[in-house]
Amino acid sequence: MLALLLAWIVVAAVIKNSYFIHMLFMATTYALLACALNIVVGITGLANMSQAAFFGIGAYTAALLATKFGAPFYINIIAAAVVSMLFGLAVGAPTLRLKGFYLSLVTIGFAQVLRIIEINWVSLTNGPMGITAIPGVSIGRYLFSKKAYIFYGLVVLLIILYVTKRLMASKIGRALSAIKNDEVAAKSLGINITYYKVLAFAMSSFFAGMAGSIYAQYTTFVSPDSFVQNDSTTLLCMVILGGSGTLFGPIFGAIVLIFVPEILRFADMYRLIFVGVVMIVGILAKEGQWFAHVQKFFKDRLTSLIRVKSGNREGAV
Amino acid sequence: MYLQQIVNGLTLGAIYALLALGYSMIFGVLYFINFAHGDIAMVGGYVTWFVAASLKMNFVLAIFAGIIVSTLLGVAIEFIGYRPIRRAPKLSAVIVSMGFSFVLSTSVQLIWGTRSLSMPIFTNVKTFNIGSIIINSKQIWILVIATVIMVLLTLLINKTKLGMAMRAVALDQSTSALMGVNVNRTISATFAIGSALGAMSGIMMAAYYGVIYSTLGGLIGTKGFAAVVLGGAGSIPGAMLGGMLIGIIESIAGTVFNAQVKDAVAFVVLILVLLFKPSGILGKDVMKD
Repeated sequence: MLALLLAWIVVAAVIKNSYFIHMLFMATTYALLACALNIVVGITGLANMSQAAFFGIGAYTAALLATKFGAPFYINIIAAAVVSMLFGLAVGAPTLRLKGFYLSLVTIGFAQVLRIIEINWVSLTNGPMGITAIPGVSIGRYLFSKKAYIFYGLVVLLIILYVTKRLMASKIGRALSAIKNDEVAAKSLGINITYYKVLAFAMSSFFAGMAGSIYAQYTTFVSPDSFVQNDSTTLLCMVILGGSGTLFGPIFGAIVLIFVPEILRFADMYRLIFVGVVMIVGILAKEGQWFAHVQKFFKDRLTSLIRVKSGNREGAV
Repeated sequence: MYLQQIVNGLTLGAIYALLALGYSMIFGVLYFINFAHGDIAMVGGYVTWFVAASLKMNFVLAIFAGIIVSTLLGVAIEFIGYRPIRRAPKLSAVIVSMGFSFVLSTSVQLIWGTRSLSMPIFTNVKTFNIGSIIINSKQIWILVIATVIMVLLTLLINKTKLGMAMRAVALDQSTSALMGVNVNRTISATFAIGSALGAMSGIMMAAYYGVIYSTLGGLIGTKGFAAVVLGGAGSIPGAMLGGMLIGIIESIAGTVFNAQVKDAVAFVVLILVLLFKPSGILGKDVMKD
């Protein structure tokens, strides 16, 4: 894993092509979002289908602070995280009492309502036109180049990974995985289920808000179209495909779902079909344990081959 | 004025209800929301448009073509995508259904383009005045057909052997298998009927507004889905009631506020229902995972 991170840094340092820089930045951002979502989906086992909405809240918060008040980036990222977390609490606190798929329904509804607010509250969000000319990140006189944002994202990614790792080893993390495995049993052991679920939800939206702030200052432009349901779905797929509940899995999921569809970039229309196919085949392969079957198939072939060969030898002798 | 909006809302609601029925039936047997359902409905609408407008064939024939294609599509998707992972976590099935939704909506865009196409059904519309209410022949057709379908569906579910099998599978798959119900075949039949209802809804939606476009699936999909939650997931009368209510609420909100708010209202209702009565109006089981 360290090798992957090192490779990531080296590639980020070496590449010059602005398209590759953009792709690598997007992969970093989505890895961030997927790792944040992993806390809710992977560790706690809740279906949050509105990660892109929290991403959007963070991006809008940062965009407004940066354009209206010229706030520096460290204020932006913290404010974006806090505002996003407050929304996460507002959505989570009343709904996390409900089980299973009801949460996914609420989060989808929440994302849609938020999108309609983003489009219609023109005085704040500038409606469908979005907020343009967001100032970039600068430290002193140094204005971040596009490439620098990759490192900015990587730093936050490392923070998330560190927090997740510590979380998994802590009492809270054990409570969360207990909830995932068996809610009733967890409750009977005296775990305050709703409290821990809301906590996980708030943490996840906190980090999603951070990613939003980085994204807003990178693209210098946010609009309601940047944070749609398809993005939330893709993120969910990244977590599950990469391995939900594992530390680094979501990063692999993000890499696969960001880079693989780019093969078809020349035909943008085909791209979404391809994402869809990756989602279908990926999940079917994972749940059906195709990989294990393929491995077994080759192993069987190999053993029978060896057996045949050794049989021949015996015959010769 | 409100009476007029209720008539318009009922028409729209009948269309949503047909879609919601498919959602709800599938939810009833497999316990997940099939996000590809709206897109299956849209494909039905497109096939009907293709047969009626491009091939210039009879409308009735075109409608049947649309229904048949959607039905086959629904059954095929269940067979390829959901059957192998029936025992996996539901979230996986949800993601697969969203994958199918991506594939279907993008395929339609590739085949027929992203422009709106005009639907040739209901070209000569007659308008009737009953008191202060204006109702046109489109609305009457939609209401009559939808009512007939809903009555037939209720009979099918409550009076036939297949309906009994569906109810049994919805209650408990393994026990109904022990009782000699062919679970796989019943689930396929549920997808077939649900998708056919969806196709009818997509065709009606396109015919009602006179246009069909590639984002129609997502649009009616979300409305049908709100209707399911409002009425109570898994409940057949609930889906009908939920669809009608969403249609009426939307029509009234469209006149009181503006057209954009109209779309949000369905979701505000959805969230409120989920907060205060998550089982919906006629649903029973909240805690079922």
